[in-house]
Amino acid sequence: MILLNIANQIIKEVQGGVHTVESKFSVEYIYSLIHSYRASLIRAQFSRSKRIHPLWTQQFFPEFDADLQDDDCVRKFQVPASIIMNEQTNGYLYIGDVTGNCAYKQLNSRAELSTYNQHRVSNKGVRIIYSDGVLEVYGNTDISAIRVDGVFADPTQIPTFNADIDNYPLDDDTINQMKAMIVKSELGMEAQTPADFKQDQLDITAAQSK
Amino acid sequence: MFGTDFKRILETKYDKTYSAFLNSTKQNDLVSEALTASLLDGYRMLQREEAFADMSNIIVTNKVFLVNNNQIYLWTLDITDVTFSVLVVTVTTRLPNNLAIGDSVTLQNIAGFVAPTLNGTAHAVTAVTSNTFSFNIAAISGTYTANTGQLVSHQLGGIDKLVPNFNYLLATKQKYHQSIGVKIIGATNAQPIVVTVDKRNNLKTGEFINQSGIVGNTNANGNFYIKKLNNFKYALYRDKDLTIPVSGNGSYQGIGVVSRIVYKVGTPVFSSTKIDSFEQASISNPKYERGDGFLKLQPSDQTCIEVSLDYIKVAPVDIDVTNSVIELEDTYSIEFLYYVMAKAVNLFAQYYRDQELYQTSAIEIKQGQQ
Repeated sequence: MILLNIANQIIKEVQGGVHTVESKFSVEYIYSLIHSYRASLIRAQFSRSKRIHPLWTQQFFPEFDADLQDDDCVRKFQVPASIIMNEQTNGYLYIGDVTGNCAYKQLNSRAELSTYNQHRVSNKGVRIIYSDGVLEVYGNTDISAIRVDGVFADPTQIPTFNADIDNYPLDDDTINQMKAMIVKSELGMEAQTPADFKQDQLDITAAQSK
Repeated sequence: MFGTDFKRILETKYDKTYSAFLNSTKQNDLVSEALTASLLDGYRMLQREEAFADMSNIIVTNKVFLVNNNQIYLWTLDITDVTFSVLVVTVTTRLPNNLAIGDSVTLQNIAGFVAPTLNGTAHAVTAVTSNTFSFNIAAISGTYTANTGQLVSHQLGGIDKLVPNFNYLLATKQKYHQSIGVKIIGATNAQPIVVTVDKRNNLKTGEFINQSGIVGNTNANGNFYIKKLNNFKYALYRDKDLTIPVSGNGSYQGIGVVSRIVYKVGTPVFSSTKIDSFEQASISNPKYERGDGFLKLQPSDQTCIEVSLDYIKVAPVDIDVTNSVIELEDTYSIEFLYYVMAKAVNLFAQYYRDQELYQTSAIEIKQGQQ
């Protein structure tokens, strides 16, 4: 199911089956709820099953940006954030060459990176660390193309994802759970509260809105 | 039903014998007000098929307009001055004209000029400033009467750029070319043309795209449906079902760009909601707002190619209670005419403080709304 259809289903559910251009719920707002609830549900499911559903993942091919390179010892690529599954597991399933056959060693801290860089054996392989939206690749400064498979926090940020056509990266069962949770937790009260479009410093009441 | 029939039934409804006397002029004024109020009521009630059916002749749907500067006028423009000098007529408008060179304009109700009157003929705009525009004409006689005339039509290639008979907006659909940040690096001279781009992208089979800037294989410039072949290649087709392939007409020699054609329904944005980050317009979430006489289309930093409007027209035919020639049902449904009648009776009762008639006509209006 595409993202817009999920959002429309949620809006229709709270608005009695009608979604017009003057709906009080902006589709963009519903999108933001969908992304954050997807992250929560994926984390919860992972903590139960220790398994990542293949429908949750996307492929990302970062573009090489020469302006981003500020250190001769490292190659840097901008990569969207992933969903952190737990203390040990981030959402990047594969980071490696574009063929998908050669994964690079993922490190979790600068201390670990420092140890690897100074060790006479481990400093031979390609190792990576993700920090502040940037993926740093050590051990081979000739790399100009990499591939990242992962469960990304905002799937619409992946350039190859087409939100109007591609299915939203979540399995159907979890989509249904997510819709129910959003309607119940987030929109129940809002649906009952009339929109207040007047800038008069007064909250409109249900009685006034009739 | 003719105007005279309308008058007869109206007089029966407000009980002419016992009520205050209304001559035809007063009746026309009353009916005119009732017609305007009924259109507004009709607009507010447009949620059911039945309501749409009652107003079907005055609802316009999917009417395409071209757009200048991401905005479009919803009514005619008043003219304040017209001058003529060395084959050039310069027209001054009261509000900014939103014209572009090459647009075609038609003027009406200009007084003073004898030959030609300038009225009713399309003129090609040759120069534009904010409130003036010019067009060429061989000669003109007479003296312009100040503050007369309107710009009633503004077109390009026969497609309107102004909505002259606009009353209430129902929906907009806005078309943009969305850059996808890739360059075309190859286009085969074959059938279908297979295009190669320099980067992975999110183009998918069946999408409608625009390509421009290609030298050599110029048949690859234009609007096409695509069939994706791999991450870097797609084939061009004329139709959505991908059955009519596009043929090449030369070898690819120049770098073209590709953009996605996005045509989506817009939602209104209000001044009070602009603080909301989720209310920011984008090509995939277009917005519109009303201001300065314009329908302004957003996102304002992207060029809107065209807009398709659903709207209610102004009443195309006045209800003249003395007219026995114009068939009103050609324009308005019979239910709508009875609604206008009830509205007129209600207004009459309001003016003449006839409490009983006011209440009965209000019930009739309510029944008309159900």
